[in-house]
Amino acid sequence: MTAALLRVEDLRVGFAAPGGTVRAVDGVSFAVDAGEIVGLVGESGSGKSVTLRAITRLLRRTATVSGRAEWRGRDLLALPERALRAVRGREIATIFQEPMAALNPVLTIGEQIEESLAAHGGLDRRARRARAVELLGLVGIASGAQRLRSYPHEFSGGMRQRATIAIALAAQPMLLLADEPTTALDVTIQDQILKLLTRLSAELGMAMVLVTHDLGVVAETCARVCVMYAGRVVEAGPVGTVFARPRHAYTAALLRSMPQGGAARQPLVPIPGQPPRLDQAIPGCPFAPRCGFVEARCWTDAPPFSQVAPAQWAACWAAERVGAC
Amino acid sequence: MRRTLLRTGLAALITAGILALSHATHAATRGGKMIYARYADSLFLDPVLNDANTDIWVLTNLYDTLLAPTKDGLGVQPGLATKWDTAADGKALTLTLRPGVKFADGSPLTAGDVKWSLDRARDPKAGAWSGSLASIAGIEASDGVVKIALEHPDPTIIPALATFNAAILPQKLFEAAPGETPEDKARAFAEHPVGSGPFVLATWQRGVSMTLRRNPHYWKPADDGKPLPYLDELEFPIIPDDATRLLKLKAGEIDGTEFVPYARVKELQADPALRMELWPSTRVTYLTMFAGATYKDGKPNPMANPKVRQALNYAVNKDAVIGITTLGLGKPMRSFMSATTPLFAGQDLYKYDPAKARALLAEAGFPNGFETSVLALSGNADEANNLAIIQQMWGQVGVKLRIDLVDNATRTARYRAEDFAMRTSLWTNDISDPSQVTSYAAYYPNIHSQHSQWRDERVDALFVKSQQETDPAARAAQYKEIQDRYCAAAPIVFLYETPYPVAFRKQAQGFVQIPLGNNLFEAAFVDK
Amino acid sequence: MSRAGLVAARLLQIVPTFLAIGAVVFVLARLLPGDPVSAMLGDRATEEAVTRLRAQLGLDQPLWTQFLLFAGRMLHGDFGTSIALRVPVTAVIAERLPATLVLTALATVLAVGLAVPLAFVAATQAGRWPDTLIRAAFQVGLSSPIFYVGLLLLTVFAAGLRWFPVGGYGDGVAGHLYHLLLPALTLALSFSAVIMRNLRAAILEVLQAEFVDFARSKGLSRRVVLFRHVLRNALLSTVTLVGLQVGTLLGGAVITESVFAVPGVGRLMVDSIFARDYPVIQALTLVLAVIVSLAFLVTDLVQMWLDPRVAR
Repeated sequence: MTAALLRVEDLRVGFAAPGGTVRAVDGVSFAVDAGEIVGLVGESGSGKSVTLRAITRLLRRTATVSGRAEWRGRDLLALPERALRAVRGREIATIFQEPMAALNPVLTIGEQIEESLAAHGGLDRRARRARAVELLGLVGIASGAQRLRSYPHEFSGGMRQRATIAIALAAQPMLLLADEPTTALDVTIQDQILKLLTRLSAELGMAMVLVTHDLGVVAETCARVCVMYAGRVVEAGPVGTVFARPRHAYTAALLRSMPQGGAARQPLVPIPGQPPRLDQAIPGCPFAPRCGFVEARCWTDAPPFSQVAPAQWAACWAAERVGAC
Repeated sequence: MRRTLLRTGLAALITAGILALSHATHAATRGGKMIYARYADSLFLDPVLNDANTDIWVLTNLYDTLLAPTKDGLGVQPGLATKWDTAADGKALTLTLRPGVKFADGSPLTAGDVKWSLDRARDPKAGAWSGSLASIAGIEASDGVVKIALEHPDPTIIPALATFNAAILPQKLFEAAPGETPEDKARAFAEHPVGSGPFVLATWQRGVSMTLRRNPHYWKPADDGKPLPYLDELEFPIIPDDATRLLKLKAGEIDGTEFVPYARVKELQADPALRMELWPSTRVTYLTMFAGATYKDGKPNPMANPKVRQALNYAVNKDAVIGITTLGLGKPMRSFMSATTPLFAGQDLYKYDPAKARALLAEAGFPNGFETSVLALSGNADEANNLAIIQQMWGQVGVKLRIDLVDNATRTARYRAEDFAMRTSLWTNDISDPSQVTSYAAYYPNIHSQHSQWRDERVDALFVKSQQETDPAARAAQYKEIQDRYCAAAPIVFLYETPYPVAFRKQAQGFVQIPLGNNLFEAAFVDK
Repeated sequence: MSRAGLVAARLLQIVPTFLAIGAVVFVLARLLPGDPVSAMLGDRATEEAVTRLRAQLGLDQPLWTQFLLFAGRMLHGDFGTSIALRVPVTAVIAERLPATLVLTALATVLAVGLAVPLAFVAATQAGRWPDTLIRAAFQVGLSSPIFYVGLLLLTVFAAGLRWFPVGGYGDGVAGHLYHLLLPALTLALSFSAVIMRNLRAAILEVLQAEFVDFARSKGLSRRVVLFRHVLRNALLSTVTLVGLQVGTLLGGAVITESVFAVPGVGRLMVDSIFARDYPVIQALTLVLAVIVSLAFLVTDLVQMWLDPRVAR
């Protein structure tokens, strides 16, 4: 395997809570290569957003993070503050779900782009201004020079997300961590933003980790996908393969519960039950209570994350049976 | 022989030396400024039209009267008049003016000024104090002599001429003041008053401070023969808060101040840099009881019965009140006027006897007591202390006292409307004669005996007689009877008399406060 | 609406407010038991003296007539003559107003200067000992009555250490400011406690905001994040608080002015109420109402300037 740009190994995140520690992320491992778009998919509470923030240590002090997040050979989780700040923005950028919340309401878009440039580049004010206009053009916002003086509340939803992307890309990062970037947007806008992100990834050679709960988004944009459940990655592999022949019961159930355009009309089957509580240790497979393929050992032994097909990995005792369906 | 001579000579020398030394330590320093902090500012510096003590106590430094009060406040001495004679029938008074007296602007003080000032003061339309000069029928002024004709013999006219409202103003300067009506002129003149007193107003920043300058034309000489006052300048900063005034005094930022709280007196007496002065006053503190048959709302009034009023007096331990509120600085009231008032004839009153109080209440038909209320000034610590003690003591004889805290204007309004059961009262004489306090407190036709509606026709008759009684012995006897009757009827709860508590730095001396309250700075000085 | 138009509109709004307040205070002052005559002449006055003075002051006329006279004169800018002080009301107020205004302004500056950095420390150290210490200290300040704090400061710093004069107002601009420092500090202490609490909570709230995470994800330094992003947003609510508190601060000035012997309008107001000096009470209430209205206007303008989301 080529040296991955980002390699996350056994990432665990716990939050101190009155009842005990909540294990939001319980041993997550995946890798991202240069220029590739990886989807991190799962329902709410699966730990995908937390994973993303944990990588660049954006979580609150109440979180305990362990494991490794190797970026170009250095463990981000162990880096001193100063070095980490040099990575943030410059090499790894993040965008969030709700663009109105992600933008500082009292600063202009221009100021928010330029402060990123000021933190990382050696550009003077003129050059920063020019680059900002360029960035706005890049994300498809016309009349950039005027727009620089606008405030976030003066933009529409879609434009705000474009602006957020422009800000994130200001210092030309190699990896973009996108936490549900289209969830809060209008359906038509969602499509535009996704297309924009894909284009930018290709044009700039920028890798991307796209966190979403929408399999459709993953199908459209990602090369590879990691499926998360209860804080763990339960299946990973190329999008086409995983979606065509899932090897984890959860993936299969997910696919069945979502409409798939183009395929023959099938009744939608929702997944019965609730995701498990994360403040208690789960001995076996976390999906066991809801699994249609459950076996006896699923309850007691956590299935290992093993290769079940060329380039496809799953943590399921019944991987064979699932794949056969 | 020589030895005795030597010894005598030595003794004489030593005595002379001691005398000279003691004279030297008492010799006043001339010049300089004294800073005396007051708790409130004056409002209107006109002798006739003013209303407040804060005006009166300053006016006596700006203006002179024909006769001046003696230092003990009981008598009079020459002021602007050097001699005075009462005619045999008592209906005329001739005063000889002191020659060569000038106003602060250098213009001479004439008999015409005297006539004009007194006519103005006695005009009933002019001010609230005109009553003190009501007996004057007419005034004639001629070269250095003033003849006052009286409607009837008036024993109070002498002290009245020593009272602040009889101050002599410069007629020409007053009439030259801008303004169309006399009131306008008075207002304008009061901003820049000119009198013949030891000081003249230099600057006045209202609410902040007032500065008086020495009057270079003042007529009164000091012991060393040179004219008074010793001070060049006298400054009165206004500092309403007691604690702040004392802090300033201790820090040496001011030379003296008034109204030292009783609780701080001992502390200042112990301070070697300060000197606490307790001046005898005419100030009496008491509770006025409503004596009418019914209250304003028609309900029956228990205190209409003198036995009830006596009982209420017997039920209060005056010594305890004096000890707690005044920390021993007060003395029990022995009449309705202070012991410093001329013709005071006091006695020990209502020694604490709760058993007797209960007996009297039972006799009056209140064996289980009754409920009543008192109007008191909110924020006044002394009144609060007094009433707390009294409330508790009366509780022991079955009288429930409700304390209604109001502000001054409210209390006055209800008082004048005679809509009260009891009220806290404080009185200081303005004139050195018992007639003022008596007409106020005991004489029904004036204001219903301080709005209490207490009436004793014998007292009323005695008062009327005393107002024209020229025989001092007879007048004294009349006042003795008035006071005896009053104290027996107990229209008030007699509490205490307290001195004026002022404090100075050791270097600041010569201040005098007479029992009437006037602050006299003419002989004040500050040692370097 | 343009900003200038908005200011003009708001200023115009003050006029009907003015008239309404004028009418209300006219009635309220007269509802108090007693009147200027009883206050002035005191317990000793005779009936004639009272009647005479009442007529002189025009207080024996029907209320309607008095009100029309008052309103008429007011519209000409004539607020009448003080009954107790016998000088024109405008002169008295003009003389005393600067002291109170400077005192209030100074107190505001001191309060903000004290509260903002400490709120900052408390919020960023939330839960640890600096936060607890700061909050406890401010709680003490908030609970202490103004006159007590004032006397304490006077005793220690003025009479004791002689760093400050014992009350008074001084001469000249420098003198005035020097004399007003301790009273301003007294006023500022309780005011700053309110600001500190509010700002600390605002900072804590903003710290949870997503744009703070976004700013951090850009690799900005802690300092830039805290000042440019957190503080600038947290201060928005503080600005409103300070502006709205102007009225309260003016009220607190009364006690402070008494303790420190500062000749301001706070004391003037209290003295006038006790003296039932209707012209001064009326005029002063109106003046204070205008000041508070202007303070609100300025607060709104500042908010508009700081927060681009506020509709213009």
